[in-house]
Amino acid sequence: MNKVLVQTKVKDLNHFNEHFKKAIEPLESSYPEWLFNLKLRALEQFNDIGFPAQDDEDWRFTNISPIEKIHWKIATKQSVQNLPEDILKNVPFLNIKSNRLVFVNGFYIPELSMITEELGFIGNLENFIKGDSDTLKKIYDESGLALNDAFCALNMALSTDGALILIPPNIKLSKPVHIVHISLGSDSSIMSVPQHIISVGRHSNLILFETYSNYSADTTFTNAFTRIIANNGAVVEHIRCQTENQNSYNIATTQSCLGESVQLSLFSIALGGKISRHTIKSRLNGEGIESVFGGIYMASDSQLNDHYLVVEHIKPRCISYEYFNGILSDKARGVFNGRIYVHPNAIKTDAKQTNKNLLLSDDAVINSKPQLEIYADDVKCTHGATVGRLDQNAIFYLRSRGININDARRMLIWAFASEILDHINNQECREKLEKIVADWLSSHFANI
Amino acid sequence: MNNGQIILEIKNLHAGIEGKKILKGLNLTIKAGEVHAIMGPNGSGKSTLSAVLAGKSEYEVIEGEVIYMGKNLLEMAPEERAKEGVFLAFQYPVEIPGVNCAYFLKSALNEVRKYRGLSELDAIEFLNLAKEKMKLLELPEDFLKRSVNEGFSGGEKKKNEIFQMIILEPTLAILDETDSGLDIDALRIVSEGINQMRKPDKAQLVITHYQRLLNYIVPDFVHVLANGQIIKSGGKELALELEEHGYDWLTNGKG
Repeated sequence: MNKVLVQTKVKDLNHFNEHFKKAIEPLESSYPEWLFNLKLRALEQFNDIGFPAQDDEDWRFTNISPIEKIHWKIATKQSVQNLPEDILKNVPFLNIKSNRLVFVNGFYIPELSMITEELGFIGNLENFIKGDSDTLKKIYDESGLALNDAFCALNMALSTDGALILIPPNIKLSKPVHIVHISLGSDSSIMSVPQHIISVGRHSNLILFETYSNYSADTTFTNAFTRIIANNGAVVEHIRCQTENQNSYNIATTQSCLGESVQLSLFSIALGGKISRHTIKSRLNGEGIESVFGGIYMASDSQLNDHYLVVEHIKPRCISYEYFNGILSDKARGVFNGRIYVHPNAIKTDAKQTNKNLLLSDDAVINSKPQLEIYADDVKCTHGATVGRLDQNAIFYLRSRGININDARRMLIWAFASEILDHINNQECREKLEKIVADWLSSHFANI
Repeated sequence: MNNGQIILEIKNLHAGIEGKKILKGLNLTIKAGEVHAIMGPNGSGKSTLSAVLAGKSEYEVIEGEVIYMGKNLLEMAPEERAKEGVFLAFQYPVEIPGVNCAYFLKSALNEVRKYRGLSELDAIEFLNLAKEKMKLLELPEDFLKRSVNEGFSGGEKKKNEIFQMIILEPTLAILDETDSGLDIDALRIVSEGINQMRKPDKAQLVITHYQRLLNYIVPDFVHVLANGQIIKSGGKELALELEEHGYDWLTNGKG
């Protein structure tokens, strides 16, 4: 049986490879040599490892064969000509004042973007590649680019555009930066490969929103790759909100590399997608870092939502707290992998991880896998995962005060989700998310 | 409603849980303006009675009926009973993380008000009402922002029950072991709250193991519950006799 599987896989990859190679070749003339070579290497890497199968421990619970089976067409600039007027209609956080970078199918749309910040650089990657390639190379080197993941390798090989945000030292931006990504389908199945790079200078502050949504109900595939470099003393709050339609596929990686005394809050709110996965990898590469990773995943019908976290404590005296809550109904599946890795030097590490899950139906499934790997002495590390149903005693208590059974249930589900939102500092964003989550609850869990 | 109108009538109530019969033919009539106390040893059926009256679904009624204000109480959902004016102050109030007291109680109050044909209170009207009542129970300022019962001390939990009762203004309040876990100051405050709700058109059913609470909430009638039945009824002096002689005094006699 294995043999057959392997053959199928190679055949599929051949199909992809031809297509992918053709997409890269024209870049040779306009790209700096180092970057073009990097792309070739990334494609080679992807060819070597291929799409992950479920015998890969990191993908054990997430079967991505539905993605493999579709003959995706890499999005082109033509696909974003003549955009519909209401292209932004499903984008979250739009009415929060921000520096807004809009991407459709991975391509920057200057007409829809609004940048008021004059310090540093807030723009897109494509033009920068052709311009200041040295600066870009330096950032690539600093970010400790890891391509051992198939989707990251694929993104690296194929992507030609995305957000580039460079904040100089000692700056506090007056407004958040919002990276908007919209997938716009067409006759064929479109794959978008946005790549975002964010570098925050020493002691600077950045609030970053990253949102993923669809314009319509078309089937799309977004393979996004975001890298954040936070230099010593930087304060970053990053809120990612994925509300794509239930026919779409969203596989994303956020890598962050943090310097001394950085404060990072990173939130992942995942409500959409037929299959979605968010890989979060963070390297705590300086002393005294305080980091919080929070997430909510809510899935109904046959959605699959996967969060995969790796937090590496490399230097002493760093804090990382992880809070992920999942709510699953119908036949939905949730996956949570959380690994905390404490290197031998990372003494006085304070790491805490909780993953709580609420199952609202008999058929909903959660696979939760906390992992601690500790190679240092004198550390404080805890983890805990829970799976449960709504507390019947709490429902009775609410009903005994006159609250209807469905309202009582919704109140408890809402409380479960809002526990995570309470950790978000940016008030406007938190309030928006409260509404997004509440709306999602009433439209998807209406009959519970 | 006048003094003397029947609020609750329990007739030959047999009920239990998980196939075990606990109440075995309980009869009780409560009229408007009255305060009744039910006393009894552990395992006599006190908690079962309060759970059945509040509508806890694990409890099964085998026989008998409960008429509340002329309606069949046992047919109503728990929320309907609350809206009709039945309130249970829980012996063990449930902690509800993430739902704050203000949001919870405002939702409950407005459900009840809607049902009674009154206008809903907006956030400010509710806050004014809540703050005024909080003073009575000496509740801390941040109380409304805290999650319902989460991390509350025993005294705070019981105060919260009485606070809810005062806000919701039930016709029939059932107070299940409200004195348990209270120190003497909290007991005084809680009792004052309960006594404030003693009105000609309302009734209270106080369920307690000890006589102590009845020094503060003086009942019109005392009933002794043992082995699922009321075996003796009397005036407030019955509680004192029980305190002196213990429950054995009555239960032994029955053999």
